[in-house]
Amino acid sequence: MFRSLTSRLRRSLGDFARSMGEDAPLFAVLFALLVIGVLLRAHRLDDPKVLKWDEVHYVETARAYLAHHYAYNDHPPLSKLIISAFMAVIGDGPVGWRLPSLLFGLGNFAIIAWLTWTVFRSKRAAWIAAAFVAADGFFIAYSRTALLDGMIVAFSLLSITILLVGRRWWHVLLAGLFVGCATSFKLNGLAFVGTAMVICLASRALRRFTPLLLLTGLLVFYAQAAFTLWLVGRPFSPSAVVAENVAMVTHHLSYTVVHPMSSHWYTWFLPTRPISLRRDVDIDGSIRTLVTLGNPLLWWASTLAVIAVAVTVIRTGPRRIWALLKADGTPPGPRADDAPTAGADRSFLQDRAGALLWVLAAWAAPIVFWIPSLRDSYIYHFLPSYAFGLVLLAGLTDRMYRRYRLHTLLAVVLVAEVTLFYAPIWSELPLTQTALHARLFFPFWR
Amino acid sequence: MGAAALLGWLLFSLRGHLPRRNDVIDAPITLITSDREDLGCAADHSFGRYRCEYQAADRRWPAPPAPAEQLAAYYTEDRRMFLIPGLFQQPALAARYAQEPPTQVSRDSLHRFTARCKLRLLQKTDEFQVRWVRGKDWSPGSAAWVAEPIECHIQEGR
Repeated sequence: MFRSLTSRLRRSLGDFARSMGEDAPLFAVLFALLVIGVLLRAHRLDDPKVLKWDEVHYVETARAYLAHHYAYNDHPPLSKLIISAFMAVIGDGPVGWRLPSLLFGLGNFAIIAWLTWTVFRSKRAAWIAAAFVAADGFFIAYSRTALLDGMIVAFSLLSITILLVGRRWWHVLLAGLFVGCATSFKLNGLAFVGTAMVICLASRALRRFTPLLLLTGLLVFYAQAAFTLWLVGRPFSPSAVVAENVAMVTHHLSYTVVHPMSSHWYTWFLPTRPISLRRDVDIDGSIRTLVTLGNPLLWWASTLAVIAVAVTVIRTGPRRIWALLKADGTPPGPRADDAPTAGADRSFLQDRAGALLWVLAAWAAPIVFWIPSLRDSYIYHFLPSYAFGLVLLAGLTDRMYRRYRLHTLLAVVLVAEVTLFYAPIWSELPLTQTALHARLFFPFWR
Repeated sequence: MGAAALLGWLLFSLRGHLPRRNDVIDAPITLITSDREDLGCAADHSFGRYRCEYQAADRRWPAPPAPAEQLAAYYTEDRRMFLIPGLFQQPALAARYAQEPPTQVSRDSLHRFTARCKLRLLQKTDEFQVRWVRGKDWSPGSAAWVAEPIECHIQEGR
């Protein structure tokens, strides 16, 4: 078994090295984007030395946990437990506060690559997806701050991926663990519980394990809530956990003030209200800022990719999609006659319409959650959707590359150029107000 | 690829002209003549050949700096702070001081004016304290450039 594993690994690495040789310019750009993404995330992570934006809430709560004191939570406590664990080991300082977000942010490169490979069965598409996430300011911003939205992305991506590759009960168990964690960061993670349940119910292999998904998610949610209550010396029975969360939900529903940084869901596709998580003006007038604005090229292209995939799925037709969903969750590899033509691309996408439908559902779920909501919403509620949008964009980019290599390579180079242009406002490098406004060219972005 | 990398570097560098060491800038410094004695700073290290009058709050250097090398904190009209050595040694300011010596009138009666100076930027610092009136409390300084004056001319306030 070990020999067959090593020979498979060697064959796989050989195939990969050969494809990299053929696509060296593309992989050079992708590698550059990955390196840039790591640097922009890690650059001066310990600066500022004070808490900014909602970091205050999460770190103060984490401090309370470390002191075994109760603290009111706007959200379930899991993210604050994670932050407090890092603070306990590294110390109560900027690195301790922000390192969990950085690690999740870096981990998201691999997770999105895994999902992209699962759906499109292309290593190149996987690398493209990883590079897109690496190079995008929306993800960079949430990797540099003690906030929890990057953690939700990680677990939402993992839950969908494991259900697309899985056939066994323990895959569903893991998915339950992941959606339970997503919900334990913020209650809008429930959107992924719903999506995961629908995926399970539609799959013949996984249908009978759907109660396991729900039960596991519920247990995870209870466990992190109960542990926190125990940590601060409060009762942690199921009824106590329920009461705690009812109080939290009631508090959320009582919000009447509309924050100036809030934005409606239908504005997220432009977007109209990216948030400036930090903004400091130096004595010489230079500005250091961290803006949750994604790479505009990727942002708009991902929406087009979602539309294109949605049209393909609709054209595939409900009967064929239902057959695909029942048969097997994992999409097939490319056909033997997969020529670089429009017809072959159409067939390719229709062969995996089931998986694409689930990616679309995962993209839509966090948005739909906010449509009927009475609470004000923010651009960061779109972060998980954007991740799924980039999966689709990466897959389509890979297909386009097969047909129009040079044009697609130039498009990816353009993504890199836009990333470098925006890098200063994603990693808080000093710039003048004029230079800032050149990047935030819509007045409503400033 | 090389061209793309070069273009990327250019785009990344388009951050506007940010003040750098040895840049010469225009600074409209708002003053009254009593500032020559009142304004002071304290820092336990030198900035090249320049030093504050005080090593720490209310503790002078054992060997005081020469007047032309003694730093003090000043604000511009747009609230930027600079540490400038020997500002009142500049001919225009020395003349202005002679016109309105602060010893003969109260501080509140002194006429505010602007010294429009060309300053050469030397280094940034936030490790100092400032005093705005002699005998009053010290407070921590915010980030400021240490800058040497090249030339100044006076603009009287309205």
